[in-house]
Amino acid sequence: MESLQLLLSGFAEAITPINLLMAAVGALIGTFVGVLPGLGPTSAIAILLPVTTVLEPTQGIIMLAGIYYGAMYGGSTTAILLNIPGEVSSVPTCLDGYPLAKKGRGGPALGITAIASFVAGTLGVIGLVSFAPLLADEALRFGPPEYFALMVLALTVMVSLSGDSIIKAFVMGAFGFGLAMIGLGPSSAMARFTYGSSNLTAGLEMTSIIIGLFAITEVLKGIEERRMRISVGNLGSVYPKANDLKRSAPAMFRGGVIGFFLGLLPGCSAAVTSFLAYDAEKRFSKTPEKFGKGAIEGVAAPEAANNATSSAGFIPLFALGIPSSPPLAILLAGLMIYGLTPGPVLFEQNSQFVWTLIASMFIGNIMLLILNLPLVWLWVKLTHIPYGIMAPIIFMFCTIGAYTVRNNLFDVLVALIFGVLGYIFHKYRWPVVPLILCFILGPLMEESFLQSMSMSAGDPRIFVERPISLAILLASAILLVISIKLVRRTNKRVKDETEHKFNVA
Amino acid sequence: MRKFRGKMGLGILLACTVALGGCGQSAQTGTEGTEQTQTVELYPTKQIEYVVPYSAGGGVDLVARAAADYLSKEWGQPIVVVNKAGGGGTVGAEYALKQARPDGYTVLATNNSNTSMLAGGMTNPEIKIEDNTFVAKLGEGTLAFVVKGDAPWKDFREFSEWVQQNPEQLTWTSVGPAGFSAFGVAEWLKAIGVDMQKTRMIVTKGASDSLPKVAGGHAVLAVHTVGEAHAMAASGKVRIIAVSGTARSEFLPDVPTAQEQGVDGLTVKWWTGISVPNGTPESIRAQWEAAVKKMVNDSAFQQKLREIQVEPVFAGSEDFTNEINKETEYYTKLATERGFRK
Amino acid sequence: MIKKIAADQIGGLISILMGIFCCMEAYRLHLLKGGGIVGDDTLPAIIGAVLIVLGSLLLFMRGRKQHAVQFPPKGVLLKMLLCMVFMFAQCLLIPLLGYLLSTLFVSWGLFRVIGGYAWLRSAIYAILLTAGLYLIFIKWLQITFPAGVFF
Repeated sequence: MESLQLLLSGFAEAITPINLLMAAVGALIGTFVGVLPGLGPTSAIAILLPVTTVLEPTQGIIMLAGIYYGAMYGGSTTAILLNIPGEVSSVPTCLDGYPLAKKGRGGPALGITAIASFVAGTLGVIGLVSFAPLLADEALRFGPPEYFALMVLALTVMVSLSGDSIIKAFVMGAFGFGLAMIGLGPSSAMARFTYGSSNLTAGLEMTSIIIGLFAITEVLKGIEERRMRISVGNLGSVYPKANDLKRSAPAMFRGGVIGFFLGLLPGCSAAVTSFLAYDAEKRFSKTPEKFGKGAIEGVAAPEAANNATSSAGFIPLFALGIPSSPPLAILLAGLMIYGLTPGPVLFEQNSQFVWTLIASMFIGNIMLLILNLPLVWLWVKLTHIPYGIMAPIIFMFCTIGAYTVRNNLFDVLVALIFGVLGYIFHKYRWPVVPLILCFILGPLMEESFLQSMSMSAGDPRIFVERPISLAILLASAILLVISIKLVRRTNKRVKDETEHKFNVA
Repeated sequence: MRKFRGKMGLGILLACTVALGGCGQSAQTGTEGTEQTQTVELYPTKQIEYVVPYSAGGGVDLVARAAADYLSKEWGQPIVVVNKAGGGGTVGAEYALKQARPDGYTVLATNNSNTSMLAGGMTNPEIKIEDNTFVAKLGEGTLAFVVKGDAPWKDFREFSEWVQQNPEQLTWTSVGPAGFSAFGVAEWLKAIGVDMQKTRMIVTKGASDSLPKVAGGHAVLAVHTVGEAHAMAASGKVRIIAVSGTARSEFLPDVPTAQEQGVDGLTVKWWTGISVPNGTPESIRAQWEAAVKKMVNDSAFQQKLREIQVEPVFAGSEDFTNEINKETEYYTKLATERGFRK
Repeated sequence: MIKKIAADQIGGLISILMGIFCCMEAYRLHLLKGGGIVGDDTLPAIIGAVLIVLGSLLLFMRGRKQHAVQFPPKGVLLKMLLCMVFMFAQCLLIPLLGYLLSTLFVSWGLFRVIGGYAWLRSAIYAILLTAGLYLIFIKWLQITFPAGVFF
């Protein structure tokens, strides 16, 4: 309980007026940048890092924490209101958030998002305090075969995101895998599918594909429907109704727990955990057919997982100096610019600082809740701007969003091509989410597969000889069977209810 | 009718924008004019792009950010660090050296991986040493040999003996066959007379990926810079059993060098510097060199580098180029000899 | 304008073609690689095989219901096409005209096409948008775009 004491003194440190101000300013700036389509937490922190270097270390880091959470929240805002995820981890949020916004329930969706983030953040801090050092040790036992098994597990999610045809979903998944292979191969750095182009050698950038498949496709759909504005209905109260809260509370909790424990593993980013949480929620649900058409639980679970993963990511970061996700890697850069090397040294020598930071992360979360709930109406107003004005603005943001990730115009071109492809996929009912999921998992899976093979000198038995890996693989097989059954059941139910089928993705 | 109105509107707006653009343009040409006549006194007159061919947060990036910070204050013009990651550092290098104008407003952060190791490890790399005009070296990092915290070997000598007896049990991590660690390992295996082909390389994404693997016992050895390995080593999860070079690292005074432990000839070293595209005006190159020299000797800047465990070391254009050429020759020979040149 | 076409079959065919393409690349890599059982060519080969198998399933499986794919009327389709042309044009124009000018032109066109506003009104919107983007991204966030060649 020593850590609890340290945490309390951390709180005492963080609740000075100036630090609170920094957290608030950071949360506001972060939200603002995160709301700009295509700019997620990673870009936001990278872009704003120089801005914070003028401050004292403690204040600067607190501000960065605010920016981090703010940008994540901002990214979810655009995911819900405009169907533009700021980061891969917000893709599952789109699935139900955007239908909610279209129904004029964007307000409650955003409210639930903020609350889910807060709940998961709180769970994360509790987890951090209770067993930080212990978990860091356990996470190390996950070697390449275990990661491979974990990726197989995550792949089973694809089935439930498949819409009306499992085969089509798997084709899209394989296509996503193929796209991820463009660039230098992981084992011998041979150029694959590049045909001498230096742009292709660098590989395709996730963000530009997302911007294409979601944002640009969405605008095209909007033009097609001759949409006047994104949401015409009443925005609904920002404060979710008791019923919404009741339905989302278990989702938040489950999402938070999934996000936290998987988030401890270095390399298992929020992109993976938010998908898993969404999928788990769908499996637990008594009404899985409502998912994808505006189920509030479908917003709460991935958002909670996203946030819990980020909190859990601090454990490997502080205990071992390993950043487990891109935004954390940039946050690490921030820490290092301030001359603080994360790792156990930081825990020992600057433990006060670490706990102040953890406390301020928590405060950043609360700040977000306080600042954003009243501000939500402002974001929701966005959906009432005439589409003729909004669409060109979104288009221009798409260009910038795709460009800024690597400062490369080629990425903009890729975004545009995927915009057109996305529209065609939409028309012919090829689900795009499996493509994105496999694009994220592909490289991780290939890498851990090749690493495992190097470890065993080419003997595939390594995957079943190690207990953790075997257990995960068995779990995946069971889940796969359940998922397929579930999809059949859902499709049948949807048919019974509405006579014609909806496209889930 | 409507079309006609449209065309008129187009004409008017075109006129407007041309006029507007023209205004901005004349101002810009003005500065360019002065730049041409008095280049020596008046550089820089606008923002400089400092291209880092890796993602934010790595060693090269942090040094570049510290340098950009110092030099923008020094010159009173913003120097913006632009991360163009991908292709093992070749994408950013290609942008800065081949696509950008050689006017001194685009510079590149270089290190071993996008210069000597690229040329040494590959027969036909995208970026060649000759594409660079090297300006100066900013800092160096010592190589650390890292094993699991509770590994049975007392020291580097024992470890080397174990490898001599069980080469097929040695797994080591690297970002690829031409990666930084591969050269470090190749050199060491050569020194102790072990066939590199018998050992196994596990390809990882970098230090943050490979060190946990060593700590968890999934790989035996990782070779990284002291800066990268420092934090994990302090946790006791991994142990640094030796550093390369002839002198101990100033950040790890307790860790003996490989030489002290009876393994001679380990010279691989991490470094980072600055290069500009060929054809950049000589006066600008000289101005950069002088400014970097002043910067690396500045104690505040040195302090900043030490905080990220990079040793501030300066080498001017000529020395730096010679060093790199020598290094390239050596790496080419090493990679060819040990059979990992592609 | 409702068309009933065997879209999934065509999709299956494309999938098979992509699969063959993957396998060819895998074979090329396999020759380059030399020794070793697994390597950079393993996954391309697996994915290629998966694409071929799944594609064949789509192509040859009978009794699949087809969805009616409804495309928008010609005018709207033209509008969408025009928007994408503008967007591609921006991407190509940035290296020539610089970010600001190309954004100005393209957003002008987009406001005109999507919003259907008069040319002048669209122009005002375009100027406002470009100015806003300039202030936020270039002035405040210091993002560097390639400078135009002609200007």
